[in-house]
Amino acid sequence: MTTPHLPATETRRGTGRLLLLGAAGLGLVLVVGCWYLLKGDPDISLSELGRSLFGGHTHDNGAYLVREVRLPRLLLALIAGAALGLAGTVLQYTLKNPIADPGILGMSQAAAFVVALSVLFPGLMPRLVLPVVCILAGLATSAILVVLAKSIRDPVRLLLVGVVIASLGATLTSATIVLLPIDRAVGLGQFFGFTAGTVASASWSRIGLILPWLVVAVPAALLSGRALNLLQLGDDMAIGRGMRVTRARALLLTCACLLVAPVVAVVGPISFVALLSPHVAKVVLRTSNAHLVLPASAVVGAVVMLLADTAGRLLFFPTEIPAGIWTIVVVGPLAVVLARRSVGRTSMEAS
Amino acid sequence: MTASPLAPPAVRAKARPLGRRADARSRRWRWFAPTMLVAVLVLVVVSVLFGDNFRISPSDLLHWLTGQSGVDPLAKFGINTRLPRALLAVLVGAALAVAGALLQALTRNPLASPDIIGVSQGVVAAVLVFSVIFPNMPYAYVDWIQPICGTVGGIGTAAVIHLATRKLGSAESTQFILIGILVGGILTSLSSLALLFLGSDATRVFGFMSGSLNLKGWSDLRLAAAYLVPGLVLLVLALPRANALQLGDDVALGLGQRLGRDRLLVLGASVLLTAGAVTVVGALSFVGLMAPHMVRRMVGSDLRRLVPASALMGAVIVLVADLAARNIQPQRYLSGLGDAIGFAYLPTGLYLAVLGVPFMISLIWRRS
Repeated sequence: MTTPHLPATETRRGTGRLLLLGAAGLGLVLVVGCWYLLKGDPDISLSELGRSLFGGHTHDNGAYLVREVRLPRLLLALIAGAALGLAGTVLQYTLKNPIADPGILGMSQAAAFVVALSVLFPGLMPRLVLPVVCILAGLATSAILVVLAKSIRDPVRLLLVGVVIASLGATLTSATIVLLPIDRAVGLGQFFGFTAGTVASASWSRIGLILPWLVVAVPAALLSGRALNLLQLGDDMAIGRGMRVTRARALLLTCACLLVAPVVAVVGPISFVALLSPHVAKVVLRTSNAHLVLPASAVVGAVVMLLADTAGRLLFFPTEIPAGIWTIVVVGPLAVVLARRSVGRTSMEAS
Repeated sequence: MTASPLAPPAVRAKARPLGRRADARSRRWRWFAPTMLVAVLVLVVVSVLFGDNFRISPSDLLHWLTGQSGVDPLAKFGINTRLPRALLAVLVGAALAVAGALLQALTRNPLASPDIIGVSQGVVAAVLVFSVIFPNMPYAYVDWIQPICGTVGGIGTAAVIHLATRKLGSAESTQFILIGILVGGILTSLSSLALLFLGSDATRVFGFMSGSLNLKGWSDLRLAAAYLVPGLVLLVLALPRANALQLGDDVALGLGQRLGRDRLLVLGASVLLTAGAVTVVGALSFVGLMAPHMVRRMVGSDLRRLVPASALMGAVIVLVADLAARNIQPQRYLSGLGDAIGFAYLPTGLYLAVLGVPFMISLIWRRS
């Protein structure tokens, strides 16, 4: 692992912490995941859970519940969280901005607009195509960012372009809804449920919808550490090190899109997981080496999503609260607190 | 133009136009202000005369204005629906534009505006959360509680941003804007959550979320006017101080300004103006950013000229956008889609976004 600007000892210590974080994350996922699978309506016993997971062909209700409802939901939460965490790191390093997030840059809004069209005009696009169109919409916004990044060196200005695109996307979505005839408004409830972001409608087929994209994008993101580290040094330094900056940025943003858009298409625009994860990862690892932050942020994202969905499902038990609400109400303020430190640092560098 | 009598002497001396360029600007201001004033008047009259389904003859308007009897009742009805809406457009456009100009002076960053740093979103979120918590409140109460709620939301948002950035050192505009964007993002998500709980009522508030003047009447105009008064008072107090802040912390300190207090005053004026406008018509975006930019090249960045000029320009922008919103009937142009399109007018905010997005992107691009 060659990192151009970091001393080897720091990297080694960071690797140790990463392993610790991974172990802690795994333990948390196992414990909370077990509880997640056991509790609900109806509760099932531990032995029943064991039988339904590893027992081969059992066909009782408990086994069906675990295999077809709770397990896919748990996996979807983990996958979505990990993808968002990774995407957050890629975006924040690529745009050199500590508050870059697919929801702030307009990628989520673009994808949500596509989903709004598909929900409100049923029959417009088949379900299989939806993630593809979402990815295309996300790619369109990133294309604007990549093109403008050539001439806009200031990370804050670049982020503002994203903010503008995001507000355009949101306005287009509300215009679509305003134009909806009254008798079509039945789809609205479904759409609002979607905008909150929830994994409640998980199923194996839905996981199948996003998995192909993630199979490509997750390894690509995990391997992009070197490029992210170089971009972090600034465009001039990166060019000096032989990097083709614009091409790298385009590839990285494409990768982020591939991570975010399918998740938005299936789970909804989950906010702030992508923003928070890299910051938590950096605090825990005490390094900003992208090689280490990338996997760490994936772990953090997965854990955060799992906790959010567990809280949403079980905290106020009979009523279910979408995971997206927890990410807004709890993760959002937390992200502000954590991002504040890096924001201070960014502006000092900029000035 | 003479200096405002409220300006402390030191500031007045500093801000007095110097040299040939400043002279040219004050000359330009002398014809720019009346021109804009006439433009606003013409647009208001046009807004009243032209409407979706019928035109009102100028003579009817003249008769109505002079209080003569014998005005066609239909024309009377038309005037009574269109005139308050046009005047409201003037009011909120001016308020938002001034709020933007103040914020840009405060942060010394030309890309600040109330809808970018999250104040507008705070107002909208507060109003929506309020209507989720008290869904069945009678309209008589809603009318006066809702603006209070929205104002509190806007002030709360600004307070959070202020507190979060205060300890990070001097008033770094970048920090202020970044934290503001972040807070705004959270509040936007909060608003979309409120939609989930509003359920079937949600269609009602979509116009509010992107800013709409649909169905606004005299009572809304009175409400907006009343809620803009405190902001206006603060504006008068803040104006000379904002001018000093604009020159930089060191200069402002050297001029004997008390930085912390002045900054709060300017921020407060901007927030109250934003809240007063947004609680009534919703989060009209881009006005606060566009208007000061459009006039800055004409009148310079002396706030005593920039603020009134921005106000006029903001009024013109919102009037134009609302004229489009009132007269473009999407169903007519999208008839190819058949019954997929309902009979509705698009919110004013959409036309503002159509104007504002290219403007803003080109602005960000050009300045880098």
